[in-house]
Amino acid sequence: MALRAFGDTPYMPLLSLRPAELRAIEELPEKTKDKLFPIVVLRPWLSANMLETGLERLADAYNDRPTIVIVSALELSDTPRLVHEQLASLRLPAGGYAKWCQFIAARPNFVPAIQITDPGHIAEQISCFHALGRGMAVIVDNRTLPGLRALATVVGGLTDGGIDTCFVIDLGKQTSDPLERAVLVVAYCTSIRQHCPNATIAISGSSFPADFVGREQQEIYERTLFNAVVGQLGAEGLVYSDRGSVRAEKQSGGGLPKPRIDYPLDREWRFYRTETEGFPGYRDRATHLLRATRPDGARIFDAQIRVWGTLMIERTAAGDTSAIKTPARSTAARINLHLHRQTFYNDPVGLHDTDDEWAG
Amino acid sequence: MMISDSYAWDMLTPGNKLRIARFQSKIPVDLVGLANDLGLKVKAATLEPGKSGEIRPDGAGSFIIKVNRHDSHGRQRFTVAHEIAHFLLHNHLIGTGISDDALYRSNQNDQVEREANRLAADIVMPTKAVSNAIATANALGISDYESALADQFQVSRSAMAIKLGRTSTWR
Repeated sequence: MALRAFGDTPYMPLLSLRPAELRAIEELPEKTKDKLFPIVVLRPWLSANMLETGLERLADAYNDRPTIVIVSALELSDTPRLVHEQLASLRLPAGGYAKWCQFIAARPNFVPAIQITDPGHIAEQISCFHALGRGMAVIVDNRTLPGLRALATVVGGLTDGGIDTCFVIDLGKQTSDPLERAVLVVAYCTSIRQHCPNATIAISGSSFPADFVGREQQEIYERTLFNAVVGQLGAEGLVYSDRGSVRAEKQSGGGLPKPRIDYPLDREWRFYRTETEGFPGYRDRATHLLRATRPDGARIFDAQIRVWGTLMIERTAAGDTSAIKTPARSTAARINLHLHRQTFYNDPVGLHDTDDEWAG
Repeated sequence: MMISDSYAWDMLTPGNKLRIARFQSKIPVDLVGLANDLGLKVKAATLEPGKSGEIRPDGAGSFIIKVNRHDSHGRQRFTVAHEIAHFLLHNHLIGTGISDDALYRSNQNDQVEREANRLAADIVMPTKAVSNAIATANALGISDYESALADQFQVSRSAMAIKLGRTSTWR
């Protein structure tokens, strides 16, 4: 019995140990936190020396709820710290990724994503996690997708056909041909199900753009793709995933972005950008968003979605200089709204019923 | 140091004093238990900008309290106590609802808000329990106990400072 059934969640956002992402999840209503099931990439937390600093921040944000975790790929650093050594240690394949297994076993709310860098040590690792009984995720990205069939064969053989297992097909950066890619993803799902008929499959990617000049909106292609796959295979056993409206690719610097307020909708993002620097720019854009309408006259901004991201935009428009005043805060507000929206996709009642029982 | 209950405490009926005292037997005070005992629902919510809390009719004969979930834990507790105080002292004034901003100002006059502040302090920081905690601190030779008491009673340090008479009083 897994810590949490993968099929029970409508949404598995792939997040990182980064301030905006953790702030966004921390401020969600408790019922939203309960409903989504995050996959968190473990990486160095800011300039902290120890991995534990980031883990403590994660615990502050998401408490002891079941959380799927994976070790980040190697990140080059000008000033290697102890945390880089810790992560390197967790990546070691020796003994069936024994260090990783020990790390997971010592943290009762963590659900492991298996590491698949060394085929010779995968089976032992899967056996370890299967015995642990918390469930496991198998994240397959563009680099490892060619070996999907072989991997599914191994996983299926060691988990009674994928019991308490979730494959995450991570397509990375999404492009504007989601329907074409859906054909490919259907084939991946079929391949997984041949060997792991009991497994859940999450489909992930991100089309959040890197360039906003002249761009006022962007379709969420990963949502379009997922809906297309569901249209062919049915929703049973499939879970939507994305990067929580964070880019799949790494940013390459480029200075402080111009003030921008982003507004996530179900299937698209709206962008309100200005050349006006500083808080006046954010305030102007937030005010513009609050007034913006669709061609039919309906307001784009939904003030009835009472979550932190909504409040931040309202406070910014009202001139509260402690609200959105930096790109980081703007990003956190966007992620917060995006996570809530995608958790309650096609559920307008849940989307607007944001009050929690007060715990005292 | 002498601390005492406020005049707002004296406005309560004997029955309500006893009722509150039942939930003050352990520290921190069980505000959820007290609210439920009074028939009140308490929700954590994202309120409009600048709002800390509100109390409104729930449409079923009682009232619902909402507290800003993005405030600190200590502040949320004081806000809930403040709204409970409105229920106990100003039931007849609630009408369609009282909504309090960050300074606990509302559509009610200052006197009403002062009373709610003082009773809220008496609810979350019971005078006898605070006095006992001070005596314990003194016995242990701890002079700077304000922060420790704030943690113990799960209130903000500024709220405890006012209770201890170290800074200006509630509005």
